[in-house]
Amino acid sequence: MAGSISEKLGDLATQVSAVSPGRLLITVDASNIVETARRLHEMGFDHVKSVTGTDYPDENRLEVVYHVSSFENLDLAAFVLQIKTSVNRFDPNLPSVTGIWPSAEYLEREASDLLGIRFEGLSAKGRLLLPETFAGGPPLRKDFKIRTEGIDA
Amino acid sequence: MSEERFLELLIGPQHPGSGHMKITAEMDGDIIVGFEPNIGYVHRAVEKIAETKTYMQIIPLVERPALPDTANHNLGYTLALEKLLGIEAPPRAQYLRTLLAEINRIHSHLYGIGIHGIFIGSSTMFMWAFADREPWMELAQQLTGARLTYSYMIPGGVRRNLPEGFKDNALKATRYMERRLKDYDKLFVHNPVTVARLRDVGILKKNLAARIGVVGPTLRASGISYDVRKIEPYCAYPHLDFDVVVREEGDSHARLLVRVEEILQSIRIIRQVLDEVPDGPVFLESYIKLLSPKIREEAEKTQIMRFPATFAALKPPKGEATSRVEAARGEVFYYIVSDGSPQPYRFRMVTPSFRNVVAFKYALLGRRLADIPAVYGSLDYFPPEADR
Repeated sequence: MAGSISEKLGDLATQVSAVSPGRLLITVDASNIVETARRLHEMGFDHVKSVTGTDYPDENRLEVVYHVSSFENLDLAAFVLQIKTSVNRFDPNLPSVTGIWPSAEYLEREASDLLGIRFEGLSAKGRLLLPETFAGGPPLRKDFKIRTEGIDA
Repeated sequence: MSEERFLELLIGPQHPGSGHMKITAEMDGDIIVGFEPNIGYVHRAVEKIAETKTYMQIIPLVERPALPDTANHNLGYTLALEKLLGIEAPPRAQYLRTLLAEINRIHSHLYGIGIHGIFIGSSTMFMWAFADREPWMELAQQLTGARLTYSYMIPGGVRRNLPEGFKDNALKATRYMERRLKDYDKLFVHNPVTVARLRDVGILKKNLAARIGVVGPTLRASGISYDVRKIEPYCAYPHLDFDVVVREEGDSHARLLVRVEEILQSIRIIRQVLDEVPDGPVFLESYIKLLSPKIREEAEKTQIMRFPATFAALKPPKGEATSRVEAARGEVFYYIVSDGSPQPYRFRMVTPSFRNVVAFKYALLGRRLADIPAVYGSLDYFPPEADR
């Protein structure tokens, strides 16, 4: 599988490798994310399971991972692709993949809400999980501390 | 709003009826032309809190969002954690995990069927299904000590061995459930009123279901045979004989029927597990050796494992792991990043209800306002599970 994906993606991916049974790691530059999505979709990877942002303040970056697989092609369904890319922590812009994978809509909205990532082309606006009145920074960033309640607070 | 002829209708967020969610429906007369769910009313920051907790403390945390289906959420997390630790539970524990997972699937499906019933006006179906959860909660209690939040699966195995007399009770419950499903069928499932309300209503076509990424019975009712228990088998599922329930219609009735038939498949699995559960330890032997002699002796005598203090500072090696399991409402997906400390660096939990929110946007287009409860109920959407 890693071979055929590598061939399909060509120069787009900086890395394609099998990391564990049924899991492949693909790393791409943020500017190539939509084209990568398009080609993987052509291969039959039809949906996104998760869009996860991870904050690395020391490296000034947010890592974004798309977990992708297939429903309609059950051979491909045995694999979960982990497509990784990074964006600048202070200017976290990424093109939305919802044009290719509509299943990413709520996942991108969540990442936008909780991590402050801006997805260009994501049509839905406004907050998803947080209240509209929420004034703090993105809560899943590392500099956001949870306020505890009770005896230690 | 583009034209004056359309009316924007706000539904919710008071529960019940909208279920902790605000819906903005755009109406042309009583025809729905736009449907936008607005969620988050019961968001409790599970992912953020997990980053401040030790790996063992996260077990009860992941159970909370999906109360009728805690075992499967517990299981997915435990499998991801075991991958990080590089361990696997012994065979008997794998069977016991499967047993509880299926007990919970029946419980959760009854919950879903009951809610669907009351949504379209059958209060008897609601009463029956909710009452019939009782045998399954009692079985779970006998096995784990708790009715809903079991924290039964821990890295390395399960907390308790099968209690005496469990098999007879469980077989009794399966026979009772089979009888009851026949009653349900007459009263509700194939009752002409139900069929009239649900058939051809809220259709998600196969291709659309895959594109928007719905999961579980909602996906399988649209003709897609995706079930993690078959696609990436875990625990005892590779050794068990069961069918993936698939229907082609993609309508609200098909989703109900998938749930009903899945209860029968779960019964089939439970009977096999009871017959075939292998002997042996229910907890990893290399971990048992780490326990103090006193705790080890007590665990051997009572067949109940207390959370050993050794686990409080459990530090998986640096790395990442993902897991997926087929929970009652669909696939639950975990992704954990460990930096080698006692807390995860990043904890990601994507629940089936969150994946299914998108279904509301598409399933109701072109339907009438009065169809909302019929379709909503068929999606078995659980707001706390979606909001996490």
